[in-house]
Amino acid sequence: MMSAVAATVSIGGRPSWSTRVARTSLVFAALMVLVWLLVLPLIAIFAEAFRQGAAFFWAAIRQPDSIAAVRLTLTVAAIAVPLNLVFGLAAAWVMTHFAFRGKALLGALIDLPFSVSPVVAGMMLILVYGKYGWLGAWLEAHGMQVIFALPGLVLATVFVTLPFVARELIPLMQSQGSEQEEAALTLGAGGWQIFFRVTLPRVRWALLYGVLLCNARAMGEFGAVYVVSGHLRGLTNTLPLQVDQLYDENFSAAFAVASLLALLTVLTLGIKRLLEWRHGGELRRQY
Amino acid sequence: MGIEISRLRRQFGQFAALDDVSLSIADGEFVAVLGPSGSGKTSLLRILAGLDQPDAGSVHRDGEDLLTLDARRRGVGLVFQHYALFPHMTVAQNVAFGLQVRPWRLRPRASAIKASVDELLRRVELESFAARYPAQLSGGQRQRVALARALAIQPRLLLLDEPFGALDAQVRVNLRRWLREFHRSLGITTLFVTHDQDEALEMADRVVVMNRGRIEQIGTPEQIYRHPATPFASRFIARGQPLPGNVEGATLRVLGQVWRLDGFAMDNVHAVAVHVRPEDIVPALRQGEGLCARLLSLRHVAGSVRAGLQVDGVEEPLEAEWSERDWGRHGAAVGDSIDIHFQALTIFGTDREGRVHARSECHPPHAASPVAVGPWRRLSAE
Amino acid sequence: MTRHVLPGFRLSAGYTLAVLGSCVLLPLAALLWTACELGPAGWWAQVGTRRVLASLRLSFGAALLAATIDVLLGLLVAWVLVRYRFAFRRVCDALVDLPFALPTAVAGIALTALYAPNGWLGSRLAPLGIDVAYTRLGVLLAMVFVGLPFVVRTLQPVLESMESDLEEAAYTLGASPLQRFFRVVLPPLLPTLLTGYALALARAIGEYGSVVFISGNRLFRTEIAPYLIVQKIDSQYDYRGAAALGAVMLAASLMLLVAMAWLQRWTRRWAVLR
Repeated sequence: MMSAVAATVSIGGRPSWSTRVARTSLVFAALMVLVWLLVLPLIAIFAEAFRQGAAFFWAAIRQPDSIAAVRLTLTVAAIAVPLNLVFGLAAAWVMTHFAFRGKALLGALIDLPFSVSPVVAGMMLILVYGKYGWLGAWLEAHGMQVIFALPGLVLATVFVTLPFVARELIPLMQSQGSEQEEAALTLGAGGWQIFFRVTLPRVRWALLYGVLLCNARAMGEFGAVYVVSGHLRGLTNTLPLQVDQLYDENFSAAFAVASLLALLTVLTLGIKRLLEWRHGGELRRQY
Repeated sequence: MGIEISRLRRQFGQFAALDDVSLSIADGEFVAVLGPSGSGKTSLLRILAGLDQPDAGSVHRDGEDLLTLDARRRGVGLVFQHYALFPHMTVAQNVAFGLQVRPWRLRPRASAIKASVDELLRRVELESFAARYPAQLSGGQRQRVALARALAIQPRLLLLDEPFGALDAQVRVNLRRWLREFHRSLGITTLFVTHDQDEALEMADRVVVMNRGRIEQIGTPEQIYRHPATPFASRFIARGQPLPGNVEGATLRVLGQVWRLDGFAMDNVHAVAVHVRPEDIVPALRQGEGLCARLLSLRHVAGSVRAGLQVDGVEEPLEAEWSERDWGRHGAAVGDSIDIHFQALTIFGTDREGRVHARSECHPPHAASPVAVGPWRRLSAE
Repeated sequence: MTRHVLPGFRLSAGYTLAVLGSCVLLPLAALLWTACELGPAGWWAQVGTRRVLASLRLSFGAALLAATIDVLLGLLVAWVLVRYRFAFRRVCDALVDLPFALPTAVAGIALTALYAPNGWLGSRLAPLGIDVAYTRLGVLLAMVFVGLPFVVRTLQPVLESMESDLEEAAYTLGASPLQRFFRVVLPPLLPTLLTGYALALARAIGEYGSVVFISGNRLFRTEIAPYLIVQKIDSQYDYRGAAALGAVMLAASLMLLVAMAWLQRWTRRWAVLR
């Protein structure tokens, strides 16, 4: 342990014996916290998933309900993530290139979904789009079902992941200013040309980063989706909802499905790390 | 015909960035807009480029209303102060951008674009840098790329925002000369904005002096330097230093000396400002003549001597500038008292709002003779 | 009349407002409307029951405590990650994001499996008389888990920008290590710590997936407020009751949001000083 610890901060030349001990114990304590709080649960997922062997694992994943859940999760993400990608770009464009009344309010609204409980978010959607909600009668008359159906899942997912891309882009575009866009304008470029040839190439990594986080959250969202889905097995069960239902019936099968999501998480974190390593300067790493 | 700017006004809240600005620029002219920061010069530039709209006034080019054209179709080349080069494009791609974004019917063929990019890079002496990215260039090179990029769209008006602001002193001087020559070879109407007096006076055909959103004076560098029209122009460009003085009829009383004043009408005049230029303060040859001054400091700067002088009755020390050769003959040291003369004074009469109503330059009686080295006789002694 | 030189204001503002309107503003208005319709008496009839009050007490109490623990643990982890070089530092740094990226339901069942009486840790803790799963301690643990990355990631950039010059200055002035930490390092970190605290708190209050599995949802004892909302909607179809409770939660989030905006201004003032 001692040899693995090398301090970057060396105040007053060689650290004394007591400082070295203090540092080592600090690092040790932090490692303990991380292992206990983060590593153990992660290991537990995979251990439980394979407790009854690989064959059982495969069977659990390949049962029709699980496959339907995977398909639904991918569908929801495939709709919600592009919606949020465009939303992030549009919001960042508005927030960074123009001065207008109510700009601060708009910024606060973009951030709002982060601090609202997902369960409350789902409930609010029911109050609007549910059978007895504001638009319920109108939607029913037009043969549209939102709650307990795909559109509801998408709406809930969009709500929960709304700020991800925008929050990544706004600080970056703010720091880059409008000068390059103005230069392109005086050179005769049109709006889309400016966007695709000047703005987009400069924010692409931050955009990818935001989309990555957005996607991870979209596929893993539980609370908001739980409320609006009605969890009809094979119909409106996304992967996390499937995990929840299996948990009461077949413990190991639940972990088998959960391990898929855990794998997605590990993959996401890996790519995230790679992006931070290669393009760290452009990325905002706070939530 | 050129550009006709008429009565432009631009307000940001309470702050008037442009206040009734009118200016005409002839075809092919090289004009400098000179003023301190906050004087409205950048606002003027942005309005001409189409990046901002004035609250009132008009801009015409050869009789055509420029303000109704949006920035994209104006054909105005703008070189930004910090260049605003596209960092993700090479030098060649940056220069080609303006041609590539044209609607396809007006877009030259790829080979034609390449040819004009090559030609432009040759002109700005950067042929061998075509494949580099802006981050790999020095400041002066970036500036020339920005220039080439603006020129690629064959603008009818070229605007430069503080073109040398972000450069080292040495690079700056070289680029100034280069740009002057470059303009001469292109003949394109050019307006550049600067806060540096030397830059404006050295490069421009005509200089527009701006202060607080207003134009103080328009003229050739020589006119402005020799005959500043306002106290601001005098201070800012001719380095005029205020002296206490008052007007009595046809005479001006300054530090106990009486100067004859011609053609100075005191109608509407609220305050009088008397300015003297550093080079118009000269040492008297013999002691006991002129005004007594204490030598506070001496600095030798490239062939000239700048002296700080404490003169009784003047609060701030005055700065005088003499040629090294003249000073050599005198040879006083810091702390000595010397006698000085004023060779010329400029006097302004302003109203309550600071507008100039009367202006005059006075010289000692025989200063008109070509070699005027003093000593001067006073009109009347104290 | 505002002037927009760059193109695309209408299009981008239109899309932004359309999405915000349908996903955020309209639902928000619906919640406020439903809550207002109840009136104060009707609202209290929904919220004032023993069961709801117990859940609110647990949700807010556990979240406050969990966020406090997160600040302490987060400061330790962020400090070590920024200041020291050691084996697996990069892996540890990446791991911090786990609670943020791991689907909450997955985290919930993983924690439960670990701490259940027959789980790895649960079976070892049970002989000591410590029950984690299906107790309030479990709720607290899950909340600590989800809040940790918010504190660490908020602190990291500030610690990085602080580097060691402040400490070195203090060192040359003769301060001891503890004095350096408490008198030089900690004060400028305070607004950042509070921001991290507020973020972790907001997340913990609203958290559902990670908590409901380990809490066991025992009546009056381990039911959290989001669980009650789900119950009211899911099995009782009691939308008014859910809205009444939701309004309380929303008010708490909005208050936290305002607090964070205020904290950010404070942070910026400190930033100028540096």
